[in-house]
Amino acid sequence: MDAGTPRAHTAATPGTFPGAAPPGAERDWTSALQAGDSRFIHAARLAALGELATGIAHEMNQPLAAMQMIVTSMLIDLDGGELPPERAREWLGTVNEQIGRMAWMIGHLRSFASSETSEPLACAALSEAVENALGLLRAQMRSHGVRVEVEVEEGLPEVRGDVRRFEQVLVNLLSNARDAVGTLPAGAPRTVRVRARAGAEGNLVVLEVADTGPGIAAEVRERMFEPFFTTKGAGKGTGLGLSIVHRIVADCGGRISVETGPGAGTTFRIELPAAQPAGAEGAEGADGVEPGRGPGRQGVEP
Amino acid sequence: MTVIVVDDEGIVRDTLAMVLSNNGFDVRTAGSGQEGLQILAQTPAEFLITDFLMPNMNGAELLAEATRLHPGVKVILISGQVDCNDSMAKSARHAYATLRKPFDFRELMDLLAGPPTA
Repeated sequence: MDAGTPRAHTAATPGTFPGAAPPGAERDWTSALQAGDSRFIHAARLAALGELATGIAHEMNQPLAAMQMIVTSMLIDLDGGELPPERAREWLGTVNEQIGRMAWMIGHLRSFASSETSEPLACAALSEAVENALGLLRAQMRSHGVRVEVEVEEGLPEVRGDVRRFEQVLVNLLSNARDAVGTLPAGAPRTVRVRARAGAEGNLVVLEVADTGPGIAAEVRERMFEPFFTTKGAGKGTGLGLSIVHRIVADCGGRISVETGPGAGTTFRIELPAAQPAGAEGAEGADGVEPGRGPGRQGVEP
Repeated sequence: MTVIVVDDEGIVRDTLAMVLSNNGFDVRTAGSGQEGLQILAQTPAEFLITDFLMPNMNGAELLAEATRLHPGVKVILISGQVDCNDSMAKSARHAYATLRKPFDFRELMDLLAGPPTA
């Protein structure tokens, strides 16, 4: 990203959408979204999952391919009477690892698709959300020739909210970033960076998704958080991605802002209140964080 | 016989190398198309087995470059079931053979042993 190129900064006010309300039937959806209707957000999550289905299938093919090669090779060796127990043990160990990988992916998909709502005071580790979201998107990023950089600060405090919703935020932002760098001419660096770090104020956690894409035009920036506003072609985008990101962040008492400029890439920055401020008494990692302690949602509610 | 395996997916690359080595092949591995070309420049190989879906240089691009620089090398393209698009179909015509993940290892062994049956 070119540091010398001026970048505009847009901050969205949680709870309101700039611009006119979408007409007709879309109004009910907009109301549901603005009300934070969990059924609506769940439906959007399933839609996102559908869009990622081919990539997820590709991810699952990798451990399957490895396991099939090993099992067939072992059968060949058995038929030839040449399968030393040490080799069998080593190879079966690899198969076992890959079964674990597939089980994790399937379990994670079920969890992501689940309509169950979390505890009102649930806490989430952003590192988990980042890992899960990239697990869904890795194949797509590869197929688009996108390099993904990840930087998650160690010992980051948890944030209040459902980890699946933060995962949904990341899937939506990363999908947009993938599409943005996909418009670059051949040979241009296509990089997407995910960063999670402690905020300067101590009780905030900052999540950033940055891309080296062409940037967002001013007229798009003004409307991009509106439901159903999309710059993608027909059938390629629902126009709900950023509005859902906005809703989820607002629900968690957070704030989202955007830095972008022509040819200067785009950075979405989300500030979320930590479930318990870093360094607070009793903060001993994930297990030491007690839901219900730390700043209440009302302190930063829009 | 020397075989170069190119795949950015470590588990597939390493497993393929492991089972091929076990069957007597001299196997070199690369995590990217560029690295595969470097190895091919230093080590004449009879076969180059490459994944199709890789960043920077995909399997089709590697196939084109490898056969341009080293006309004798036989390239086997391996794809996931989900990435068989037009680009894959076009490049498949220039490949020695194509396989879809997950594939039967015996099928690969047959390809390495002789000309394709189809």
